[in-house]
Amino acid sequence: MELLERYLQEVRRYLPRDEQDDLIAEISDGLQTQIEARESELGRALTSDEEVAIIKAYGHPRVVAARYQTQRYLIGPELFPFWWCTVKIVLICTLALELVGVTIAAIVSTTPFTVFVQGLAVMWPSIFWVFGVVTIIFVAIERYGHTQSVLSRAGIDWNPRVLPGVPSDEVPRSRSLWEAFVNVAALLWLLDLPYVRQSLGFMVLGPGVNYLAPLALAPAWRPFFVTFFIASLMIVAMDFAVLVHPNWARLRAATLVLANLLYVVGACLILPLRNYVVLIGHSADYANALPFIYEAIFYTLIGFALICAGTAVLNARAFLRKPDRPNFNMAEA
Amino acid sequence: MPNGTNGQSVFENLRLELRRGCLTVAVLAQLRQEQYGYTLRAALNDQGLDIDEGTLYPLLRRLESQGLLTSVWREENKRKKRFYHLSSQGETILKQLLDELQRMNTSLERIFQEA
Repeated sequence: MELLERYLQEVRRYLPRDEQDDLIAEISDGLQTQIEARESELGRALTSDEEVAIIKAYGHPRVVAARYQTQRYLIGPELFPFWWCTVKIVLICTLALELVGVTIAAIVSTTPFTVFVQGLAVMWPSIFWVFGVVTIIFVAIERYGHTQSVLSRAGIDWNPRVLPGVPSDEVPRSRSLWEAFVNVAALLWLLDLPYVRQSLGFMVLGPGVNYLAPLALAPAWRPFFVTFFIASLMIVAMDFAVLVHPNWARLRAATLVLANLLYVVGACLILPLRNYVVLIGHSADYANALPFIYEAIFYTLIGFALICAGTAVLNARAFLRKPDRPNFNMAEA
Repeated sequence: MPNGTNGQSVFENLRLELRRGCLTVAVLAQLRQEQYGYTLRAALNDQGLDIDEGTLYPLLRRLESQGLLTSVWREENKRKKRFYHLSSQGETILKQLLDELQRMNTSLERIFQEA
């Protein structure tokens, strides 16, 4: 019986405190009755092994005690999908912000690679913090809040009328035309054909373009034009293809992912230059303004890289989305 | 078609789900006569419904907390035992559950015949 007492002592540890005596008495009676019934069948006392077999069949002490708990999950089935969605959103936002910070710190440092790697290493504990905090909040709602009223107050009281429309898989021709026009203009600008750059500048800035005449891009930019050129060429080719075949949405998404990644690479390669423009001729006014021009170009490039990175991510998601839509045409089913 | 081991575990999971509701009805029905844990388990076993004590006792506690059973400690064979019995609310609920079970069986028979 010593084994039985040790087993009951262990089960007691995990039982609700105010019910321990009552439950242990019941479990003890059940097990002792089993032992007595078996001894009566065998006509002798049980061996230690036989007693162990009966106790093992009853169950692990923690498992046995858990069966008497009223709530056996942290987050119930009603709240679970909202918990998972919240974890994903908060994680993505937190990691994105941290990545931006790490990237900027790397770019402005003298050892960008080292700073970037160190920054990435420090980022990962955030995953556990976010996971833990969001889970604790939802566990508290599950345990102490009335789930339905909490969901209603949070605005999660769904109405079929406000569900989003079914997206079309076709790319609007107007979008393809506009993109093609913009990227052809970018290509012409990159090619630096006579009068083209001046004309395009006049289209965007009007007479103000003349104020940029004393400035020219530093020669170090030239090799990196290749990335921009290839990216714009890809987009133009894709746009003309999609004009003819508007349902080639996945091709468009894949092309935009690659093109935007090329833009990001190009921007990151140019960023450390710092002296982005050179003066043509001598002008004291412009010479004094150069540091400010450098700063403006620097932050514009960062913003450009971030926008291109975000565009690449969105198009990657669009590319990975399953192309088959549910068939709502019941006549064909 | 599920393969051997996977198919067996799929069947076991579904079998557990099927048994879960039926065992509750069986326990309530059996407790129209007062019994304690061991005799209740033996009676269910005799009727072809085996249930281990680790599952039975928590079920009894839950049904009692829901007001479907009453219990009393009594000494028998020099040891205190907890005897359970169906309450008046339990009798009402049991009747409703049996009616529901009957309706489901009728529906299932019709489905089987059509299939």
